[in-house]
Amino acid sequence: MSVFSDFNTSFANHPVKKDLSVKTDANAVKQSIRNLILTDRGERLMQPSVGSKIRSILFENFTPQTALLAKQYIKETFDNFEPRAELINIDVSPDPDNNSMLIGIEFAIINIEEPQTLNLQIERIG
Amino acid sequence: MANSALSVANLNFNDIKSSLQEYMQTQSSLKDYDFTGSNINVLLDVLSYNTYMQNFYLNMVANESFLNSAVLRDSIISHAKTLNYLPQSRSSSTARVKLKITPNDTPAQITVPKYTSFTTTIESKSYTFSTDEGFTISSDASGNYEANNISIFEGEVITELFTVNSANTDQRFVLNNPEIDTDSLVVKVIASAADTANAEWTKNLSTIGIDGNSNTFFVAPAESGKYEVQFGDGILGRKVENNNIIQATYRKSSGSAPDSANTFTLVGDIQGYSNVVITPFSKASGGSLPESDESIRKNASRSLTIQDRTVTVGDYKTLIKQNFTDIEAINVYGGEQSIPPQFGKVIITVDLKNAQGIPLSRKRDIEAFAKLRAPLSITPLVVDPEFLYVDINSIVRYNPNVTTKSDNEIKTIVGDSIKAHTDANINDFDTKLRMSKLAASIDASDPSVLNSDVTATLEKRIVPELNKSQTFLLQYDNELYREIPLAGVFVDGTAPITSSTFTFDGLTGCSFRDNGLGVLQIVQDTTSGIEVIETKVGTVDYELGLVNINSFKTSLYTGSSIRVFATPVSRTISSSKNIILAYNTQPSIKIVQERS
Repeated sequence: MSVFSDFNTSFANHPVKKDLSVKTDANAVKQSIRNLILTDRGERLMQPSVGSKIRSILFENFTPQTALLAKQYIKETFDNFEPRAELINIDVSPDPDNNSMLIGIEFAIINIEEPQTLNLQIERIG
Repeated sequence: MANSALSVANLNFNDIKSSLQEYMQTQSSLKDYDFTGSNINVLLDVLSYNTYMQNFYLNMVANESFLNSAVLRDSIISHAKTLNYLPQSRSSSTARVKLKITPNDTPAQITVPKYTSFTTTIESKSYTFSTDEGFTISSDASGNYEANNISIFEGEVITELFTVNSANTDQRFVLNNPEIDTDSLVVKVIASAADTANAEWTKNLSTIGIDGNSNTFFVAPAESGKYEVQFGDGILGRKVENNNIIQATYRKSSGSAPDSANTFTLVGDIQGYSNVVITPFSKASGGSLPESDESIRKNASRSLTIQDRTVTVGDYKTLIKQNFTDIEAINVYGGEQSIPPQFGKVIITVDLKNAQGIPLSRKRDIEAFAKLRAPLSITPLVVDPEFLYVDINSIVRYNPNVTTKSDNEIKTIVGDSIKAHTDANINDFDTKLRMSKLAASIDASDPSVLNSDVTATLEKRIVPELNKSQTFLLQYDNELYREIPLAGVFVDGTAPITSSTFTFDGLTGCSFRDNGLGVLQIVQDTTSGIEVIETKVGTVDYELGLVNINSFKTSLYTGSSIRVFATPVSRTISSSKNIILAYNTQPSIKIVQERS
């Protein structure tokens, strides 16, 4: 019996049951973290503080400070909005030539022993 | 089937979302509803927002559906319209001036046309004033061309033209400027472009007294603070015909901004004469913004109660004030209360803004207006207001140890406090001045004031024509103090009723006084004491507060009037009927230091 469950962001149907497909436990938490990091502040209706400010730094020149700022923003988002996960490590690799950033997040989920990893590539488009 | 656990009655976004989250507790498919980053939480945000907006919208719709709760001005005005209430528009600031024209020839008359313009500047901003009627000036005995007490009104004069198109059944004649002063609106209907006989139509607030041949128009509020002109349907008011041209002329008022202007310059010339001296009689005042939303809410429902009929005192006051906007104060009472009684009459007394007295023509206008709306056999009669002045005498003790202010500064503060109190409580009909409250205001005027003793003297002013025998009835409207002198001597040396001095029978320094027995005498203050010159010049009714002066003739008096003083019995001074209780702005204030 799963502890956490949420529907899939793609609203995809279950291939067999044709029901709305659902993500559970670790996958549900990962999806939630991904949503939070990719949500900009002010984007959520009536909740302007939800999300991270990570998109804003994509529009700045990459400096050694940029990776530190990205880590700080991700940590803040974890602390404020994701009570199910405990952050272990964040690895930020800027890719200035492609205006993007590779983010590797290692975290632990409450009630799940093995650590989880989430890799994101965020990039400036246009 | 409805789920009773799902409450959608909340008006707050967070409460709505909490309700949805509570509802989600009843299922186990999607458990992450209360984690901020989950998709289901985002979906709940959207649902909550949608519900919130729906609730807000419905709440607004319900609010705007009632006059009491509507917040949008257009909604309030729309409700007022259904109650046949016309919200007050902006009012132009009005000044009164004297025009003196010095022509370089000797014309029989000089015509000052309607809308002759003048400019003034207030705080570096220029404003235009204009006359609202044309008039002629003839030369006086000295060869001067002078016009006194001319009213000029602030506002740019605008003319709008509409062509009636009877094929357009939805045609409206909406005036473009919300800044209009509707009192200035003049409407002419021209039969066609070729016609020059453009008749001026009259404005009506109701259908009383009009028929299908009445050249009348109505003003109604329109959207966005504008006003529109409406015409009759051929049964109640003449109907406008196809291709008629409607010419609407009005002032665009700047509200109260030009108030206090008192220097005016003529724009252009008058009939070719530009040597015009403009002397202000009274500075500009009376400008105002449109009626506030709160005021419309209050007055619109009252208007419905009255239904354009004058029965009660409130009906007369509301309807007359609504129709004659230059009225500052009004009182209405039954003729049986008059002295002498006038049965079958309703006495209306009004004080006009920036005017001394009320012109006869204005009285007749008000009487005619009230008569149309009054019950049969009731005759409205407009009378002049009378002023009953209150002279304040005050002894104020203050502690100089707790203030750095001087005696004079304390005196000024106390004077300002008395003025503020009287401004707020009297200077109107049917008012009361309570000495205890006035004393409390004085005591609170400065922390160093310890206490105050306040007394009041009532004052009436008479302006007799010199060397002509005249009779006066002075109504003090309050019971007067009565003292019977012992061997002709009053306790404090003065009678309760006294006056300023005048010349009587060739004797200077004479004044009135009462003898304590209801008789008014003329006395002279001589070196040997008070000498009675005329043993009975009138009577005093102490209880009713009436002083009769009979067949009085004087050859000279000091000042612009003879001031007759009386001491009231009560420490609460009141006024009724046509009497305005007015503050005499020169109080007697004695300052006493009391160190403690």
